[in-house]
Amino acid sequence: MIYLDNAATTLHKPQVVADAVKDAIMTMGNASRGAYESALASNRVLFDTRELLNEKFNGDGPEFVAFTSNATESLNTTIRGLFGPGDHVISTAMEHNSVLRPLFYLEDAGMELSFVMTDEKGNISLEEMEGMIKDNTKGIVCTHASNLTGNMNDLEAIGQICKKHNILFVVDASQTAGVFPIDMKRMNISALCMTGHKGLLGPQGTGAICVRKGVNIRPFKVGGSGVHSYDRHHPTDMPTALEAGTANVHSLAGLRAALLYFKEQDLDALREYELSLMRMFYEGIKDIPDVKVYGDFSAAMRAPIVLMNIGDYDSSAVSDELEQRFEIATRAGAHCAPLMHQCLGTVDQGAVRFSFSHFTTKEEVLAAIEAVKILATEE
Amino acid sequence: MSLLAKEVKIRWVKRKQNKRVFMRSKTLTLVITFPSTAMAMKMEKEMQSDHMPGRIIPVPKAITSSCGLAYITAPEHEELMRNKMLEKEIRFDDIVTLML
Repeated sequence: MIYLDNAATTLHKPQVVADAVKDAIMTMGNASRGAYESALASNRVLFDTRELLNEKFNGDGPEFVAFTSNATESLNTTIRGLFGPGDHVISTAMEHNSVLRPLFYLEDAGMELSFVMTDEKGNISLEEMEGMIKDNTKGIVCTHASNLTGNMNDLEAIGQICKKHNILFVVDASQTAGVFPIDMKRMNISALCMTGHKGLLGPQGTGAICVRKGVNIRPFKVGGSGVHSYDRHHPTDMPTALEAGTANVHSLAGLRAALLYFKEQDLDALREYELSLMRMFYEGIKDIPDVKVYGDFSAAMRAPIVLMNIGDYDSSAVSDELEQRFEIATRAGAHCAPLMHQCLGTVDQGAVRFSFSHFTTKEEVLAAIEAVKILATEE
Repeated sequence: MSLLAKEVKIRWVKRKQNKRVFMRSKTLTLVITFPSTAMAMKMEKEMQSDHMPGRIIPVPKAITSSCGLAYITAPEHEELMRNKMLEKEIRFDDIVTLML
């Protein structure tokens, strides 16, 4: 199989990730629930992983990194814990449902919500975004890169807008955490939400929120904390404030191993390689008759994603042909990004998404180009 | 009786013979508690990297009826610990001396 659905999850992980999960599941106890060696081993894994994430994203300290089960939980916790009725929040049409649905939930409860829509290439206007800010605007929530087009937002510029207007800045880094540089301090990010199983190459069921000092998120879940057990309320100190119940230590051990793997890699080289595969694929299919590619490929930095359709074929049928005839795994349909599909005019047809990782080979990309050529030209 | 149970019983008998019934002998110990487990882990890691003596234990009931982790070391290290925690930005709840 040729796996080209890395925007959904990275299938190929470094061997050290699998080894770490296997080792943890056989040896590690419940973190924060005892001071014996196997429980402490779990605690050490958690703390190490917090340190590695804090270092990678230049946060305010390992204690400001809270673990979640995925980006959706990170975003629900952050959005519903920071905003509420009476607040005004600005977001974009580029968002995934993991951002949109928590925002719509709050809108139904009385929060004001504005969206910056995109142009035909899938880009937003930052002037338009800044123009939406009003007295009760509490924050901007946006993705670093669209999971549909791969287009990236300029986090540094949006962070400056938030700084200028003294509002919160929540970022969904689901598509970029890994080989793309993200600096919470330089970009003025209040809360960075991510999943561990995509670009970070960790196991599924891992995610995190990196919160800046002084940004107080109301807990989304409360319960067992391992500390202050006789208090009626959940502890308010980070990271305990945003964590309740047994941590997914066995999988987080895998995420830790992935983060250590990244520390030994040249991230710029990995990113350039991923982008070179994306451009090779884009160049290989963009001029095929009947093939329509979406997104802006003029930007130097974008996520390694190519979104396309063939004629007016149902995107699901194209993806199924790719799988059945060529053993190429892609993602068709709506990709949980309804507003982005509205902006691209692809609500009815959906689109076929190809997404690459640094474990993808050039030969696999060439095979995918050939497959698209065959599908687009055969009678 | 299982092998493991037999082994535990042997350990217990040996302790009784040594007149160390139920617990090890108590010594005066410096106990530091923290606002979160993450901070306790930061303490352990920073102290280990500086080769400082000490270890993590469950928080003694004498300090709080709650649960959690504490760091213990010898009482003579108190000032050193306070300085290290200040230097390493390790927030603590309490520092007490107990017979443990």
